[in-house]
Amino acid sequence: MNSVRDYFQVLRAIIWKDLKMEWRNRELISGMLMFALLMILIFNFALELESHTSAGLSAGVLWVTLIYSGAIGINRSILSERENNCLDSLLLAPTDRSAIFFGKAVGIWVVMLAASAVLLPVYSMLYSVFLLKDGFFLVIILGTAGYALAGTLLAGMSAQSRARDSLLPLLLLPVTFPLILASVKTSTGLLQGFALADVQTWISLLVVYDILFIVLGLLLFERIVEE
Amino acid sequence: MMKQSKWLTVLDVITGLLFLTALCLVFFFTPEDAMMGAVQKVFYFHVSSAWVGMLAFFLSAISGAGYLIKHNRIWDHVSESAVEIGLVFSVIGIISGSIWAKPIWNTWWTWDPRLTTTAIMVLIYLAYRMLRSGVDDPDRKARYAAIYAIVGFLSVPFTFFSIRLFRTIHPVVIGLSESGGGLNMDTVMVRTLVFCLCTFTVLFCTFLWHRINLAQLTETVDELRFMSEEDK
Repeated sequence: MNSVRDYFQVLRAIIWKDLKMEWRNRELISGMLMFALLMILIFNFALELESHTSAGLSAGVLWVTLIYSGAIGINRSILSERENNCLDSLLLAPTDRSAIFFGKAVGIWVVMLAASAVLLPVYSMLYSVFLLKDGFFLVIILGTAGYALAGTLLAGMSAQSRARDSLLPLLLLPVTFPLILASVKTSTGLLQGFALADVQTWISLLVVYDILFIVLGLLLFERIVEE
Repeated sequence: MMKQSKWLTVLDVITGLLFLTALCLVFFFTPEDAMMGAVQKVFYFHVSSAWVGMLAFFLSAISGAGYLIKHNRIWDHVSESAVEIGLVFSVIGIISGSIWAKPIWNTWWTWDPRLTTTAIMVLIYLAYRMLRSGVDDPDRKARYAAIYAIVGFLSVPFTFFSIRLFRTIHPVVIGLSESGGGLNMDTVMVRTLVFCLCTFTVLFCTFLWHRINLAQLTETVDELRFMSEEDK
């Protein structure tokens, strides 16, 4: 019983530390938002988006923006633990190391959600697409959760390599392909006016994918950080 | 100098003979497809290459798990070797598929589930190679490679399923296709296909054995170099 309490204490402490740090310097979110806005701007001209864009294109642009800015956030968040050997101190915590994994993943997830909370209304305004629907929130929550989980797991490895930041997208994108596809398809369906029940298969795919990475994190993160 | 095992030499010869037989079967003893003509002959090696690609990646995930559990470097050698061979055969599968697709589908490439999944699989294992070359510490390299081999392989069925939700035009060879997209093969064709599949599996084993030997030699060289540097 005690060990379960310890586990959640470590988990909570890490999430709290990350969010507090983020609140003070706003390093991740400002970088991510800046990047996202630039992407939307560039997409506007690269794809010649009109102010009334088709649903399929909107979902695609939105997810590509989220994914790339997410990769930037994940990289920064994990590399910040490498600086000053913070990770080594975290590893001293007397509990299962997957707590560190989930702590970092939830931290990144919350920041990604916060970034989406700014991005969605801005996008809705710029392109006159109404994105703020309940179903849409569900997709964003599930999609970013899977991305944060997979990203945290793989960033633990890429941060230790010589290439550091540039390796993460190469490792992450092919593995998260099904997640990205499912998120885009669900979003497109919802924007075209389908109900949640119509895109149920895609939602289940997102849920199963999230569960897979929770299990993989539980089993494998320990082996990434061990020395 | 490590001498090549006698059994490996025997296997080399057997593989060579099997391969020649497979070529003869495909070109001289199997009828041409009534609809597609000569180009259909690429099918035997195309399916076999794709099969070896899948088998190799599966083996790399299994041996990755083996390494994480047993900590024995041999598992890492198997995983690394399987990935390299799998990459080569997957690319052969894609290229031979394109050669077949051009006259039949009138395009080199379609975004069909199987094609796209294979392409993404190739990208995953290229990333695996980059991860390996980016990490210096041998123990860490083996651990990370094992983890990525497992994560990468598990994502493959998801990729396939997600693209499958779109419609597919790739024929279903194994199992009955209800949509009529399957190939109608006579028994000689089936026999040749099975023979080619077996030949390619043996070919894979031969390559794997050679490549594992190479990996072990590389490791010995690295150790010797490390020791000589320490002596200085």
